[in-house]
Amino acid sequence: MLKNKFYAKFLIMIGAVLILSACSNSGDEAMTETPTPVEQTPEPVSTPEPMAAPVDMVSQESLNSSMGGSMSEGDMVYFAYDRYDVDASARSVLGAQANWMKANNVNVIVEGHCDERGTREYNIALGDRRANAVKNYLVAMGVSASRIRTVSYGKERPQGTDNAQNRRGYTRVN
Amino acid sequence: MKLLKILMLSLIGLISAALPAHAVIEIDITKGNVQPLPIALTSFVGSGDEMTSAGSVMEIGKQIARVVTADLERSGLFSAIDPRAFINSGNAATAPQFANWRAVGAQALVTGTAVLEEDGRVRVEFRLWDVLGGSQMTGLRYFTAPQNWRRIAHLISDAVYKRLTGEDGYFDTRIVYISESGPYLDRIKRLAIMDQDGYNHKFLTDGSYMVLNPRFSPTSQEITYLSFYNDIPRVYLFDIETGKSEMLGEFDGMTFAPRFSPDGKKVIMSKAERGNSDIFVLELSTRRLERLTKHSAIDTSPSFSPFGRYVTFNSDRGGSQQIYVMDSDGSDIKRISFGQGIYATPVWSPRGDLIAFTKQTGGKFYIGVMRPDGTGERILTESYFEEGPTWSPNGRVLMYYRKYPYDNQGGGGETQLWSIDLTGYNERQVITPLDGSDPAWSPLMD
Amino acid sequence: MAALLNKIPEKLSITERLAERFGPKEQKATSLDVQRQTMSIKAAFRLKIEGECWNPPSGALDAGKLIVVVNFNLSQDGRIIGQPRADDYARMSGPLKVAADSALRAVRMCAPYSDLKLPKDMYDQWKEIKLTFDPSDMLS
Repeated sequence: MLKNKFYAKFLIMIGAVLILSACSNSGDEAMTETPTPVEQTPEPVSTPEPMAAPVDMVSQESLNSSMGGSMSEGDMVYFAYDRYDVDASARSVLGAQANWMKANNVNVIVEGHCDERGTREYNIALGDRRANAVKNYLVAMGVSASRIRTVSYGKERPQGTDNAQNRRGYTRVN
Repeated sequence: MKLLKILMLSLIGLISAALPAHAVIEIDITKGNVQPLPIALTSFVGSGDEMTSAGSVMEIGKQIARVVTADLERSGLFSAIDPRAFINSGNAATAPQFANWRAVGAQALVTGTAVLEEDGRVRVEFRLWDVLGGSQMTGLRYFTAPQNWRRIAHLISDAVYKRLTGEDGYFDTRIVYISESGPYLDRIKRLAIMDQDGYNHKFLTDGSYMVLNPRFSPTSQEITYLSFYNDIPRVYLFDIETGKSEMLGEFDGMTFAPRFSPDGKKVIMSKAERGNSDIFVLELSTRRLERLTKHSAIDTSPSFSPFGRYVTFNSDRGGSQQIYVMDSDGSDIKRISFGQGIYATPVWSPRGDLIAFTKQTGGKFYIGVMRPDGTGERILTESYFEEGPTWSPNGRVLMYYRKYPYDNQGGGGETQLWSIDLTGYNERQVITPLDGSDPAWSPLMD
Repeated sequence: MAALLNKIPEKLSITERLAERFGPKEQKATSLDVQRQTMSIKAAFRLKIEGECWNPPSGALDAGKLIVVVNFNLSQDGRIIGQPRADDYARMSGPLKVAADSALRAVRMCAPYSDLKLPKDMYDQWKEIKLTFDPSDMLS
């Protein structure tokens, strides 16, 4: 065991030397190669334990139905392609959200999402724009900014295969 | 010229007596057929067949030849001759019978041996021969622990590639990418790393939180990437040797789209504050963040030029996503993409001559290249969705990922890694155990 | 020339083609004939090397600018005497050296040149060949 360990350390070096040409050829270029150390094989990775963020389902449901009608999606607003402006239908949803927040002492997270017809990095930025557009509207309606956190998932968390349904802002109870 | 002169002279009466006794015929050769170079590779079988700590030395010798063959073939620049066609002839390793190799169509020949040394190491030698010229082009000898034979094979591939193409190889490299699995509504995305030929595959994160956009440091020892650990998207640094990762600075707002500077001392990235993404540079030693752009538009996907003097990035400041270039202090911002459609993810070639990009137009996505001044745009590949090119360290090959459309049965949506030669030929899938996206090519290891 | 004609080969040599075209009436080649012959010899070399033997390296940075000159000597029966030589080969490195290698391979691949049926009576005109390999038209 000890011997193996020693070998592992000692022999991990790779040496490379030029083999002299077997037959003479004036065109051969003299090559030199410096010894090439090999890096240690990476150890198995220990990954940090993620913290689960449980959602208070009761509060979420009450947020969902804050519009009143059971069929409505009170926690969701939608955006046009590559846009982040809050349109009329989104404004009515967000107005209800703001009223609900004023009546319920909870903090929320606003998620910004995109469709898949764009690059990952741009969509992360676009999702952030959308989440902040939602937040800004809620703040304008009188909700304290400190109660709203935003997060962008870009195009990484679709809710279906319909692009229009994926360009969305989703408000959830923190 | 000479002959023309002679002709003139003869026409004025000095007739045939003026024929020179000796002349050189000068001919311009301006056309050829670009095709893979036929190359023969023999098994690296030495004199013995002793057992090593990584199997029999004869088997190691055979495997090395197979790995080198696969490397060279995958480049598209070589076609390996089927060993079954070889004409058995004497001591192939040190004194090949060139006529026999020419007879099977080989223009280059790689011979070699793997021998177990008394100290337990394996000695691997190879020689590259010019079959038509009957001479040795290069030859190297390596000593290593037997379990490192695969790395030796890639080093040999690089040496052969370099001698026959004049450019550095890219076989002793690794790929870090995002391994994807699970249904599309709940995709698990993990950081994964493998050799460029898919071997030595390893997961670096366990998938309990989402990761995206990994990129190697210039030493290949660190990876910077975007992690959603704790549901807070931030740029992280992963140390491959220790397996540990750390957040790169705690700033207000999300950080994303990271990439190392060529000297490895900085990470350039986007930072979003209140919905506005701009480009910043983080100095690793001080963790100081310096702003490069300040604009209400989205500025993202920054990439340094090879010597760090310029930065190319993606911005929609002109109304649609386009590619821009600026000095690395943030000054002198110029738009360089003017073709039809929108442009994103610009990445500077390691040899500096080109910027690769993702383009989107007419419902399709494309990978292409243009010069840093925006001229010479060339599209290399297109599909329903593809993005995120990464350069091989010699600036010759691009890797990217493709995503397939969803079908009506709840399937589709697969992601795969692909590579293509800069010439637009030799497009191939890079095989991964699960789905794969966001590839990043390491520099040559050393 | 007349002697060559009697062989009736499958493919006519340059000399034969010339003879057919201009007739064997002149026993001695004039300078005009030499000029025509030389053009034909050049064309034959070009056709063979460009069509069958040159595989230029592509993809290198500025691959189109890698111009290489190769000289070689031929025996009367079209074999290469000694080795073909690339100008400045010893001082070359990287992509330029690789370009020279490809030119040398092309010259060797195409040898022997007996199938070009080079006119033996004009051996002095073609015993020394200088080829300039210039890929600028095909790679840019």
